[in-house]
Amino acid sequence: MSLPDTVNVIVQLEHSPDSDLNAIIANLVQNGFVLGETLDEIGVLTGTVAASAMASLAGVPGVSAVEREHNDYHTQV
Amino acid sequence: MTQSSNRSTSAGDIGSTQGEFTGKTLVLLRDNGLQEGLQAIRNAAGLTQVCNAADYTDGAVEMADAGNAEVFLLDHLKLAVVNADPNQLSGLHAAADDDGAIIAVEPERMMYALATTPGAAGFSSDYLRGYRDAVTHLYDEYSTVTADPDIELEALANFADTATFTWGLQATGVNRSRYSGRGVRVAVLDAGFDLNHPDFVGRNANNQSFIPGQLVDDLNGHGTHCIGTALGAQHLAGRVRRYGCAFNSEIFVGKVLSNQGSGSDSAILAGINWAITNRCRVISMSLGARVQLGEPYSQVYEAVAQRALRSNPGTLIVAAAGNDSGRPGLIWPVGRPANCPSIFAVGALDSRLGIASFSNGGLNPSGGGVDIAGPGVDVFSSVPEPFPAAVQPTGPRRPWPARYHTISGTSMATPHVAGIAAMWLEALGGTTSARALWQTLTSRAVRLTLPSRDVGAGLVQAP
Repeated sequence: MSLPDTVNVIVQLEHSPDSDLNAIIANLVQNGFVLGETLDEIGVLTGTVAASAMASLAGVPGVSAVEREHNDYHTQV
Repeated sequence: MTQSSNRSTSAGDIGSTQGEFTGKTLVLLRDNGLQEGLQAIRNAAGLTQVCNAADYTDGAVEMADAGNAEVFLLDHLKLAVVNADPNQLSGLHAAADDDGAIIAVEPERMMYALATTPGAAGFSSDYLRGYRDAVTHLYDEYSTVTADPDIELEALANFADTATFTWGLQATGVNRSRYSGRGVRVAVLDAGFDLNHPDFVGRNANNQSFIPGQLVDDLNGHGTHCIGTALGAQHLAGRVRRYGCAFNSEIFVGKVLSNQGSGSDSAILAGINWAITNRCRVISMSLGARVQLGEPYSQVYEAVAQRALRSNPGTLIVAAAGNDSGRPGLIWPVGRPANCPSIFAVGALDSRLGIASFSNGGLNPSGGGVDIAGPGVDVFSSVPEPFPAAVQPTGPRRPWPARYHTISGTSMATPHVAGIAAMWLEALGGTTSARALWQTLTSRAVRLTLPSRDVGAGLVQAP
């Protein structure tokens, strides 16, 4: 179960053939990131992090964007 | 398109439809007033550096010269391509409004500049064709004597379901097309699918649920409706009209919305990842979340969509513009993730080719444009069978009947576009890039008098 101050995030990785995915993930984990899924084809990681540490993830080399996960998508009918 | 609506597609919208426009501006001059036109550009915008195609032998312009000039004049076409900042653009629009030497001012569309085949005079044939089309387009819009078949069609439009076809298939020309999306993989990321629906007997539906604890079975009905529109059969099990577009495409069902009809980024992104891994060329997403005026688009979705478009041969992501509006009084901006510039955003039309009251508009200046429109009001398609009320979500206009239902939404317009995209991929060939597919869909759309803010390039058309 998530702690009260943790948030679900989506992490976009830079698109580079030289990227070392494991190293990027290790660096994110050092900054408090808990990995959920690795979506290789689109270069996205999902996971959780303490809300206070979210900004630090964006500074990890190889990361291009970090966004708080939205869960308010609906059918458009 | 009216003059007033055309004005609204100028300076403010260049940024809002990133990926469609080059950032330059086309200025159409009067037939007999080339010098007056150049003078008008000078007076209105202070642009004086001119590269004139007439100064080059046989019109073989050095494109570097043309690109560096403030004004690139195509004398035979009576057209100038100008590099204008927003203030200069305002001046040009004012000059056009004065009914002087400048007839019209429009953003230069990117499709005109994506040239591959060298042609006469140093220009590619696509480039020249693009300018020819642009000039024709501008004359059609501003001439008082030229009839426009698209606009005539729109004026007469009053489509209705018949015994053989839905109104949407008629309006988009699907019923007249010889293409069926054969060999094209299409993923519909939605609430699942009734794998046993009688109209899909014998069709293989690759499927995956990304909703924890829920199978891919559609206990909402929305997923089966959307798959029916995009990929439904040519000949149906019962005596019922055809409602599906790409009946020979391969079906990929990604359940990213729960049976309640809601979902999260992680499920949607996992579904996109799955579809691309399975080499789906088109992804249809009849889903969205409301955004506020001025709210930026998601950088993550934009990067994902860009990567999908640019890969070889690439994947086109089509998404609903959203249903938050209450026209005519309230127009809400295109929702997330359709508001990403690299996601193909779809607005909804009714059977008279009017904008649906609920359909969102391209209001946000950075991203957030509507790219195209499709049939989205009173759309007949498949829903699960059996479909007892007890398994359905509760809420307004529930329960739905079993097997078929007629409903409205940008959700319904989106799978029309996705299915037609698959038909185009068959027509153009399997190696056609996703970016070329995007351009084909927009360039072949039927133009409408409605603002591009609401319908983008117009009504989607089948090959």
